[in-house]
Amino acid sequence: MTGSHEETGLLPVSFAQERLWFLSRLEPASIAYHVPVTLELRGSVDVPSLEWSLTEIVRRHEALRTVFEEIEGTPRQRILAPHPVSLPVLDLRAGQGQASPAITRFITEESGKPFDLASGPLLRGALARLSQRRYLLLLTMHHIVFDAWSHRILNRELSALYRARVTGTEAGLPELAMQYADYARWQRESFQGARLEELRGYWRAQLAGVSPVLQLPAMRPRPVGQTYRGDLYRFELSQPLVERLRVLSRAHGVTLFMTMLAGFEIVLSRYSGRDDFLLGAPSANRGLPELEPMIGFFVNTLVLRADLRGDPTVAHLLDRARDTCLGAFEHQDMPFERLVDELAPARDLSYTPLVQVLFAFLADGDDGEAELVLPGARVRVVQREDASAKFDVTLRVSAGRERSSGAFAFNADLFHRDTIAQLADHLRVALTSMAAAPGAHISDIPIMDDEETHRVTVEWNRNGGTLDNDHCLHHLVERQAVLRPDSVAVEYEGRQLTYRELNERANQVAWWLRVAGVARDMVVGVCAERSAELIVATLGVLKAGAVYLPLDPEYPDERLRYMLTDAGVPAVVTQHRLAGRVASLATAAAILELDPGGCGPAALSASLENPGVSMSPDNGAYVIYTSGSTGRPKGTIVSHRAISNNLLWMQRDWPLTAADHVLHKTPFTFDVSVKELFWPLLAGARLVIARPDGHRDPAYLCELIIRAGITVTHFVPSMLRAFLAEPEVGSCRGLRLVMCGAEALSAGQRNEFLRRLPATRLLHLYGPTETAIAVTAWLCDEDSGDRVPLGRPMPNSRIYLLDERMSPVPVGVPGELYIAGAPLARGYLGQPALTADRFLPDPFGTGPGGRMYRTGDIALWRPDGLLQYIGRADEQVKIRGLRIEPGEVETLLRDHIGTADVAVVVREDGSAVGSRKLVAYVGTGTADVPSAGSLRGYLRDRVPGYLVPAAVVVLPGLPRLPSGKIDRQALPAPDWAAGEQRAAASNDTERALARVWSEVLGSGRVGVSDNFFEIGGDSLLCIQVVSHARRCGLVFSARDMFRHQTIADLAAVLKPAGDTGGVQDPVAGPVPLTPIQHRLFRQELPQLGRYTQARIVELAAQVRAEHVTMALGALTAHHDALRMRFTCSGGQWQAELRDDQPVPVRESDLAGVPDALARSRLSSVVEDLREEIDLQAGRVVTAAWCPSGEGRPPLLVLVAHHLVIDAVSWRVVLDDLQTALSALLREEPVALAAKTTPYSRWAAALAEYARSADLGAEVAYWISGIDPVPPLPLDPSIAPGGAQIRRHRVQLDSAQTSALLHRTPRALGVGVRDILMTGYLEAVAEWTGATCMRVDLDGHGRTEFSAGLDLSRSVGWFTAVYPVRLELGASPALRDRMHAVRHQLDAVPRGGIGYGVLRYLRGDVVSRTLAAAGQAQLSFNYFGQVSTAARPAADERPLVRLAPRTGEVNPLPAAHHEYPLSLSAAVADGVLTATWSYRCDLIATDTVAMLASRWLDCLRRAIALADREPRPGLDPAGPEPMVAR
Amino acid sequence: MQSVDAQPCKVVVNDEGQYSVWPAGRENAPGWRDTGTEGTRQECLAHIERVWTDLRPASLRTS
Repeated sequence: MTGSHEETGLLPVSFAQERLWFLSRLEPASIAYHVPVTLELRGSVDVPSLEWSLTEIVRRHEALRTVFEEIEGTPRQRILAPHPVSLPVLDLRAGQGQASPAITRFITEESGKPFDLASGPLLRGALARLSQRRYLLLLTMHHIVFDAWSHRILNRELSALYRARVTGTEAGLPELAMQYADYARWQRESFQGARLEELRGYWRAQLAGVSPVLQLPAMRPRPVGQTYRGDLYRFELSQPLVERLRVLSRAHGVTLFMTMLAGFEIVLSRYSGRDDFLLGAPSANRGLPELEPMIGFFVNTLVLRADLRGDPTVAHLLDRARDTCLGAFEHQDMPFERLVDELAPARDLSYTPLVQVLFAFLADGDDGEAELVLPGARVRVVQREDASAKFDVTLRVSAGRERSSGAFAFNADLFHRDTIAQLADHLRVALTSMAAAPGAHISDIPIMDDEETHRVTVEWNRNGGTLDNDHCLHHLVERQAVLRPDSVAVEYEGRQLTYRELNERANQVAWWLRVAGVARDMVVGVCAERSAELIVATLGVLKAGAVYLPLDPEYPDERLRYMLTDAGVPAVVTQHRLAGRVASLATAAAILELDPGGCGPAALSASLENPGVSMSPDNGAYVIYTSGSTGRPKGTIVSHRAISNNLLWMQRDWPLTAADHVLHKTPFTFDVSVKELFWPLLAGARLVIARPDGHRDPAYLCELIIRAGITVTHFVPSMLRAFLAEPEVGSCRGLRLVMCGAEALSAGQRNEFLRRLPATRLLHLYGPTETAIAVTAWLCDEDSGDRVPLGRPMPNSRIYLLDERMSPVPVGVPGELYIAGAPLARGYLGQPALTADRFLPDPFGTGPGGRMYRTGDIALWRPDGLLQYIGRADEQVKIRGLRIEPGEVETLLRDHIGTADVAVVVREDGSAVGSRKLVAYVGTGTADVPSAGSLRGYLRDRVPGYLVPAAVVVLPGLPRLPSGKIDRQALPAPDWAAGEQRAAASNDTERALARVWSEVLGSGRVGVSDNFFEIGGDSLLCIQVVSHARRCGLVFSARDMFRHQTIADLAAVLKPAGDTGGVQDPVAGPVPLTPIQHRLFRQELPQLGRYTQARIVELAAQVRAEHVTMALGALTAHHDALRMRFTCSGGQWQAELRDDQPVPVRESDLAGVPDALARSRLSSVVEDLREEIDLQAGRVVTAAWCPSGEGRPPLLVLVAHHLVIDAVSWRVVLDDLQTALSALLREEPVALAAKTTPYSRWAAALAEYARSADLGAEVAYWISGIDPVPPLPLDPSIAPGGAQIRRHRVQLDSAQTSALLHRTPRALGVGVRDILMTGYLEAVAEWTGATCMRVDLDGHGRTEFSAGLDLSRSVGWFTAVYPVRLELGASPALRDRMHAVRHQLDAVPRGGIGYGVLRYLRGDVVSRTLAAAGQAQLSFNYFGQVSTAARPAADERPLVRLAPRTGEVNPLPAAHHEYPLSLSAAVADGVLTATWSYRCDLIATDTVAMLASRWLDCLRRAIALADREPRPGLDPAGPEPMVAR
Repeated sequence: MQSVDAQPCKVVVNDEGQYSVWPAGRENAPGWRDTGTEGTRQECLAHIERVWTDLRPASLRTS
């Protein structure tokens, strides 16, 4: 390793830096990699010595004064010269207590301020003064130059240097032998050759075949892009437990780290359902002695493979953990970043590559960050851990001899804090069990304690209470026939059967069957359309003691024949007209024909009495056949007890009365029909039968519900959707209860239901056919979450959620749903093996010999004990180890396209063979459905890439089962060939992208369907693509590349000019006016055209006129706003963008003009240019080229109408002028810095923002701001004769200006603007006698009010003018007044942008109210420090410079002034200048002079006040005892 | 994670004469006893298919 390098120039970066640099490109606004440290200092604190010490540290460690520049898409570092570090002091002495909001704000603001990697500094500090002897010191570093180890060095050096400084001794710190850049170079140079091959080989073998994604059960769906919002959960590890683990470790020859790791692996395995996965462990990576004393980013992430396959014993798992760790340590010089590239796991922005879970371990004595020790002050660490979550979950364990503890840092966007708390409990339980039973197999290591197990298996199953279910169904109906013989039991197409008639006819059927030889538990077929006969027949079969088997006449013969044979049916009851067909299918069976009244010729002779067959509730009641996903259809036989339990539960909790009319519409081959048929009949209610095909016809159902006064009905969600879409649905007012189940009910549907039928209750039911209709229920209006829960178990039933090893899963962890208790079916008719396979012994039951049914459904327990459905186990796909829930995608699509049908399934056919793929099906029906491509685009914007279906198939309608559910088996395979492997580019954008890709990848041919990351792309190459493409005019971000990884996908979202997408930024055409433009037009200025701004710039001598013309051409082409044209018709102004058009450059030779005259010559040039401005012609920028003769720089005069420019824009324009000119001088094409959000898009976004809820929230604020204030005492008699503006200018000298800018705000804890404003308020108060005023403020207006806006380099007029109502406050003390003003100014939402939008763009009552309040009489503007030179890029000489003093000429013509009194202030050349502009016809000159002098006086008092503040310094009382932390 | 489906199984029966399968070596659920048959899950299920001829609970069969 060499210790020398060039001190200047661009140097390579380390691999780790490269990755962070890339992440900063990907997410420029993210603060995830800020490293903030907050320390409390009590005692005497010498701020200058702190500053000096930090300055010295930054000098010593080059990393801290390094910046990062992009060269051709790759980063290089540049080391800056040492520079002083200053610590601004914010005075918070007014606020009390540690937790005061001001302190929190200080910490958040300071640590959250973005770092600019390209310009630095990457270490900054700030102090907050809490009291005379108490400070908060906040140091914030960027991770790219700092890591955990660096803390130790920082503390050590800061302690030594500070002590030396205050005691006047030497710190004795040796200069570093090498610097970070040396390390970076060495790392790159050494990372090659044989060692590289060895590392590669090791890691490839070590990580072969394991999925790089570990998915833990998140409470919230994973966001499209990774987020970093973090939280920290700390927990204790008891010392006895740690001791036992030490003993365990010693006994097995492993370290405590490895034992803890093994325990963590067990818990992660249970949470994820995986036995082979990756996690990471940070390694300090300071193996060489030269690296130890350096501040810098060295830490590496070691990838550890957790291998729990084959259910090893604990001891065996410890062995594996040891081997894994030792191997990883031996090969730890493989940078994590390189490993990612080597293994090229598929890129997805929603999670970190390779590892998402980290385990960091600090052993005893290893946590010794050298502490910060400052003589004279006690130091306490307030906050070390930063809150950003760089990984999903990071477990930090610190195991000491005295004390041990753990902490989980987790992504708060993914995980609920309770989940993490539970994770900590489970880790403790697992570790305890491991120590107790090292010989146990890990499957026997519990992670839940007894109490928790009891809660989920017993307590939460008690919610339903108990219920008497010792009944036969027909007995319950017979009781109603006795109670209310003449009430209507059944109504069908206008005909009715009373309870007596129904009972008697069913009795006849029963007697007939008895005679035919039917006995208890025999299966009798009922083949009928929905009709009265159907009801009579089923009841009759039950009365005969038999089990009814529904046979739908719509079924094909084959299916009916199969069921008749499979169930061994001895008799069939059918309708007269179906008898012939039945006879041909069931040749051996006795057949009873019923006529439409439910009577048959053969039955007439039978008895009308109840047959009174002796039977048990455990006899079968019905058999329902369902299609198995594999094998033949299976008949589930359900007992009277099971169905009675269900119906009596319904009746107990949601009782029907005789007044209820219940609709029977569900095909009776579906078990929900059993409820429709028998619940009303056992409750004495009326059963209303829909016509046979009516269940498919929502309009008919709607009409029937209204006509027949239906009060209760059931829908499967897909039919419910169709029903709710009926226009008449709102008229179904009689409906009081709608049950819904059998498919997942989405929250969107629930909301739609509650909206359309607000008075109707929606009951969500869940249960498979094997468990008597439903086992859980949830009344929807009780819940407002984004998922509809299944609810709680019903009486006499228990629900278990078990993992693959049949152990209960913890709350929040998905498990397979098992059902036990009364609702269980007997089994599958004639299928003992299948029955034994699905009905298993119940290990948690109370009674002996109980069974539990394995549903194949996946669900989780919510913390409140409610069940939440997730999906089908057999529909779950794992792609890259991620669990995919098709239902999640289904819900999203459904909520997007409204009434259309949606199904998302997993297919493994066609080209999907061997790789399961998601396919979405959309049935258009009558709805207007977007194209498949746009649906995929929609999803891509909302879900992580792995949830975007591989294909979207749009069909006229989706196939349905008789039950109304979507028939998933019948969905056609997508035409894979059509969408795939299109190689050739089909448009210019694709061709351009393909060219850029192959350039960057260095490969010849790139197909448009090739995935960038699969053909050799990596994250850095991705940045290069972005940068190359930009030169071809294709603008997108690295983030876009990650979202759209093929050329075809990327091109589809780029929408190049010429496409008809309609959303690209217009190059020409109308644009909406912005609030500030509206405001100007409303003033109806007489000389609107002269409302311009001008700049005079000096150019370098070699610049010629044609350069200027070309540069200005490039500028106007680049910046939309400079091509605007404004037209007025009928008093209405409109704006549009012109096509490209050159800026006329006139020439005005100043050579030979004496200096004394040059200024007036220039003024007249400005005037001439102003005259040339013509809004209607679209001439908004004019320019003059003024050569000044030998030895003097040529000048360029620029004038632009204010409608298209503001102060920030001028800076951008001058910067771009510099860029363009230097390119032209080098004879290169002009490439201006990338556009940020163009003006036109911003204007459109504002129009949209006007209608947003975000803005709505501001209405109250702005309305309160226009409360009346006392008017100014204006006196029209002062100088009659019209509006005249005069100016009064005052200045503060440079010493005072300097104090005002630097020391005063720091000492008083307010901003410069607050001080200036307080003075304004005081002066005006003295004049008017009122202590409150309304003043218009100017904001820069470049607020990013919606995502994706970046106005940092946009040109246009963005200024926001907004009124603020200010009160001077009760206290006469200046300090209090300034703080009061600060608070009022801080309360302005979003930089004041909302006011103009509300006032000018909404056009509603809010706009009118704000307009009616009229104009404020005062305005105030503080421009801050005005800079005078354009900023040249690093490698360019300055070519453009604002001409001294003439730089800003007479900003605006006088006539437009709208305020009687305005104050504007700016600092230029170190002097604060304030301009008081006033209507001299209304305000006396003396008055203004008085105001200005009062104002200056106030500033001076503030400066003096700050001067009296004690200077920070050593406490004369002597040092206090030094206790750190 | 290795699911119970892939593990060695045993055939178990309860007092109602209902058969089922259970991981071999794991303690039986209350009220269930071994029949003595063990093997893969498929083998156990095939055994049950042969011996469990009447799916009715024993209490129903005798009544």
